[in-house]
Amino acid sequence: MNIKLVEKLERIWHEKLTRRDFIKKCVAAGTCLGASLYLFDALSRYEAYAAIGEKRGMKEAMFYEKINEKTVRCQLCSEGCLLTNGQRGFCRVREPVDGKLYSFVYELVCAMHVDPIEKKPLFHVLPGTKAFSIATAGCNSRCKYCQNWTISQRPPEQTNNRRLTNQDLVTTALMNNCASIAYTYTEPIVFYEYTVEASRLAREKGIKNIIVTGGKINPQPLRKMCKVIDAANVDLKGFDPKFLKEVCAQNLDNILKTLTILKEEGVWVEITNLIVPTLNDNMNDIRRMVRWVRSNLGPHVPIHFSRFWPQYKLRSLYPTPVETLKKAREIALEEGLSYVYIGNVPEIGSESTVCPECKKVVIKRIGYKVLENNIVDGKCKFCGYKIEGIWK
Amino acid sequence: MNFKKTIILSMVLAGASAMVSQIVFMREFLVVFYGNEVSIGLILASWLIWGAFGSAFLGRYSDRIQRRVGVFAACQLALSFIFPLTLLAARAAKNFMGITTGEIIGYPPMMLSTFIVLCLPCMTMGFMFSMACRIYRDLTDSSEESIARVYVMEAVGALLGGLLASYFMIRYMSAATILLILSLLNLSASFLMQRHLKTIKGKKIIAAFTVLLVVFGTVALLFGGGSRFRDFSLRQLWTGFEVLGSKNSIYGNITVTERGEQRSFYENGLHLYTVPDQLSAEESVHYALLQVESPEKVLLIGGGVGGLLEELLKYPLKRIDYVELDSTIITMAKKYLQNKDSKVLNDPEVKIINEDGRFFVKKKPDMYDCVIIGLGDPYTAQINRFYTVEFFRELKNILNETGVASFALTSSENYLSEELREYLRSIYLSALKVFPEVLVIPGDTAYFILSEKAPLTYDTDILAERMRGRGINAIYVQDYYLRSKLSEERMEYITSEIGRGGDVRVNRDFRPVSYYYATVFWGTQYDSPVFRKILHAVKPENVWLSACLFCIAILIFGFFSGKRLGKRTALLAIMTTGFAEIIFQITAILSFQVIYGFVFYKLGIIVTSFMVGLALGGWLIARRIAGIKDDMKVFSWTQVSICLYPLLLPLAFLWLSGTKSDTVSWLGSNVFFPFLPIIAGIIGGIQFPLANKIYLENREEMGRVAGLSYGLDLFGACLGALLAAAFLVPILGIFQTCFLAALVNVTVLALLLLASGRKT
Repeated sequence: MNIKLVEKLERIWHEKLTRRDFIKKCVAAGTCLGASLYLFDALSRYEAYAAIGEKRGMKEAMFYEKINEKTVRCQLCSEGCLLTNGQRGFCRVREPVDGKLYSFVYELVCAMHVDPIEKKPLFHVLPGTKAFSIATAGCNSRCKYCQNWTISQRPPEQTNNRRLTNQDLVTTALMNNCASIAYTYTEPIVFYEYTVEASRLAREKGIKNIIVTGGKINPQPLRKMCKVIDAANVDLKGFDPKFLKEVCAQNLDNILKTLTILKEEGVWVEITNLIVPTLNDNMNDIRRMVRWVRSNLGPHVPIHFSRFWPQYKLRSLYPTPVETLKKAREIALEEGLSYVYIGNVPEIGSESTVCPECKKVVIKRIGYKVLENNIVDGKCKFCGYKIEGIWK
Repeated sequence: MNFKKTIILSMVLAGASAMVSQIVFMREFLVVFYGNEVSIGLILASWLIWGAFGSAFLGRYSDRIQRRVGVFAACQLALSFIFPLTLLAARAAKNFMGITTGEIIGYPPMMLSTFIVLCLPCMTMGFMFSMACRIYRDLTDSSEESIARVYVMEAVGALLGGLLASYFMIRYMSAATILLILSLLNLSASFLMQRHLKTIKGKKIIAAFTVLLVVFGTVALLFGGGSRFRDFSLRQLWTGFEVLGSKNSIYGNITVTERGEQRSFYENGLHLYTVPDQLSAEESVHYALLQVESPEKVLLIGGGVGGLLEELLKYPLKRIDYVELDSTIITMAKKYLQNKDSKVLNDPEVKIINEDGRFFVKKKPDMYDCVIIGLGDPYTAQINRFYTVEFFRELKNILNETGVASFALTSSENYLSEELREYLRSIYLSALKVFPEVLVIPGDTAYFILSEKAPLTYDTDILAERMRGRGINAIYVQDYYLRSKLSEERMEYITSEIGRGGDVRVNRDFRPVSYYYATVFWGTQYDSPVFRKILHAVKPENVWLSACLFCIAILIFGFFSGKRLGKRTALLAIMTTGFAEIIFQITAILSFQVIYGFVFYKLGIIVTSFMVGLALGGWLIARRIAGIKDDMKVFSWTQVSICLYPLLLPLAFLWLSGTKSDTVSWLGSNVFFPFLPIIAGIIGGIQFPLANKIYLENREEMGRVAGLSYGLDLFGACLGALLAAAFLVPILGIFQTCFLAALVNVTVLALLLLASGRKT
């Protein structure tokens, strides 16, 4: 086969082509090109791969604008995807069908676990209780160090899913003695409709709702969501717009806006900042970040510095040095934040809540475990200082 | 020096340059692209395809060019610039692609950048082969004989270069220095060639320029230019990192980086471990040792530098044997680790053994209570040897009845994707074939604990109690941590996911499928549906189907070739022989590794003896080629042997791996494996010039033909390299891969016979 091709090419090389030959060859080349393009296109389309379980959970999206019969603009997040029928959004879970935008992950979970609420991390919300944690496929960020990339960077067609209706979700959470439901692991914003509907039902049954999010959402949908959720842990992944854009596909102003709105709407907010060595470990940026938090959200917003582990695309980078985390914590305390934690590095021992007034340990933790809780009616047992949070 | 000698010298040098630079660049790219088997295949494929292009497509001009000697000298001159530039380009490739510090690269950009970077050197060298054939032809009478002779010279050069590079240069010189030396040699050869040029304008200026370069280069090299160049290019490669040291050992590249008090070790660009990393060290050691009643003797295979030894020393053990293949890791650790972290390496209780772990276990040195394998994920066939059913059997032989073995693999805490699940399950099933008890501890790293009789438990109360009872002080592995890590719900999830069925194959020595699963999983880190689908479609039945379709296509091509059937088939045979021979080399190297362990110099001998065979075959035929009457007949016989050879290989491998006799084993390692490739080489060496003779048939355009056939040889090898290591060996196994090579060649043999039949 190859010889034939080689000889043919040689002949083309040598001979002067007649016009007819030229056209013939062009047609042949065109056909080859077309065929390979078709093949490439066919191969690159998403295809249902899930071996078991449900593939789609369709529900009309709450926030979108109809442009014409075929085209819609999604208004959920700042990506503002302009989509025609059959085209998937940046988040990999939204697609217009017959001119209507649908979420494809409604009541369709791919990960479901019972976690300590400290793992989210939320340290000022019902300490020592369990959070029923769920996720669907998809995300509107592209963090190169995502821990859950096998679901966040995939469409629901490529994950193993199971249908979990709002009702079932609440019942299962209750059955597992969970005080809260956490919408986490991937990004609750992309399964917005599910989060909102399930939260509404959960709230009726007395279960708290928690979102763990990157905060990339438009103000209007966010405010609507705030009506049904109780607490949020927002990943403020850095304070350098360039880093956020290149490594996470995020926008700093957008996250800050989200934080402000959450606070305004009375949702309990804790902030996580995962420090990636060499990429966002600049101490000046961290200082600017905690200053912003203090002046815009107040000194009582807990901040968690967490350690990077080689994950996903940043597999070849080393873990964050412990000194870096310590330094960040010192800066945050210096700038006047009251509650600064370092998650998951028990050798530093910065996991316990200390009363800002009397400096005694009010909640003693190791890892995700609460060893001691000295908060009575939301106040420090020793000095009566009000410790902010959701305590019951 | 007379003209003929200059040509011979230049040709040998060209062969040596090709081999040395191939060894150097392959290793460089492994560091850039993390050495898994698919990336090795892709790099080798780009190398060969450019060589093929250079000789086949540019080579056609060698007949038409008038000033051949001048062009050849110019090529040598150019090559001396291209070598260092290519190194720089390879090391800076990541920066051009906008890769974040520490980010790994997907297959498409990997392919593209190797393809671009290797274009110049490989094409130039490929072109030089056709030119040399043509120039040599002008000195002698016989075309086919001169192809044969140039082929032999090149093979001899490659042989010398290969030996020199693998055993000497790599050990004592940096890649930068080696390439600068190559450049200098090529410059000097170019100067010698220029002396035989007819007088042309500017000849003297060019000659003076060349001499100046040689002098300048030598001086620069003597006064540390090599290390300057090395440091500069290393900074390109490790942008964003603070590199303490980077050293090439015969096994690969080890780099140590610094961040505050932390030291991180990289092997071939891939993060091995960071010190201190209390969490990983504690998990690796305590999960395993907690399952043993009272451990006394522990064997650690790899990973000791990463803090495991320190944890092990917390137990009252009688003996710790630490096997580390590459002694460079130990010397680098002693040099760059902070004193508190490196002192364990000098602890009298720890016995460090620099040897292949597989080889060490096979020798059955002692009985152990616990074996910890700290080698990480099997992304390569080399590491995969530690996760096969056969290895687990060997492991069982050195474990006491209640002893345990353990290893850690990449996993995911909250969700196992289908690819990850298949990967973990294939190793899980392999372990289960030998050890009735297999416990998997979930997390972003999954810890596998295997035992024959020890009652493995994940009851956190019992484990925490044992930890306390033994008085071992750990920060992580204690009550609170175990409780969340080993929660009922998490254990259930991993057990049911890994336990769930599906078409997942077991990992075997001669069908090392787990490294394929690992590579597929690795590939899912990039949202590249094309690659994903291709990787998923590779199933044994599909592979055989494609092979059969390919053979049918060959047959159809033959039937429509008419009169030219013989000639065309001869060329085709060169390609399929190139394809088969690289498969023989790969399978021989892999088989040797599983039977006898990774012994570098012996693996080198396999490659070297193949080159010896090639040179020998070429030399044998070069003397007789003009006198052969029935070319087709001789050629058909060589084709018969290339068909039989792969059928005998599996038998030999099976016999050697199954034998209990020491004599047979010795013979295998010292006689059989070193000599086997010689035969393959001889067949190839005879076939190549003969095919050229058949195709040439007294025609004049020999530069073109030599280029074409050489190009096809390389192209076949390229296909073989890409397919064998990446797909065929893990999917079909070594034996079936050999059969596939035989099938393709039998088809070509059929065409040859048809052609001979038509002639008479």
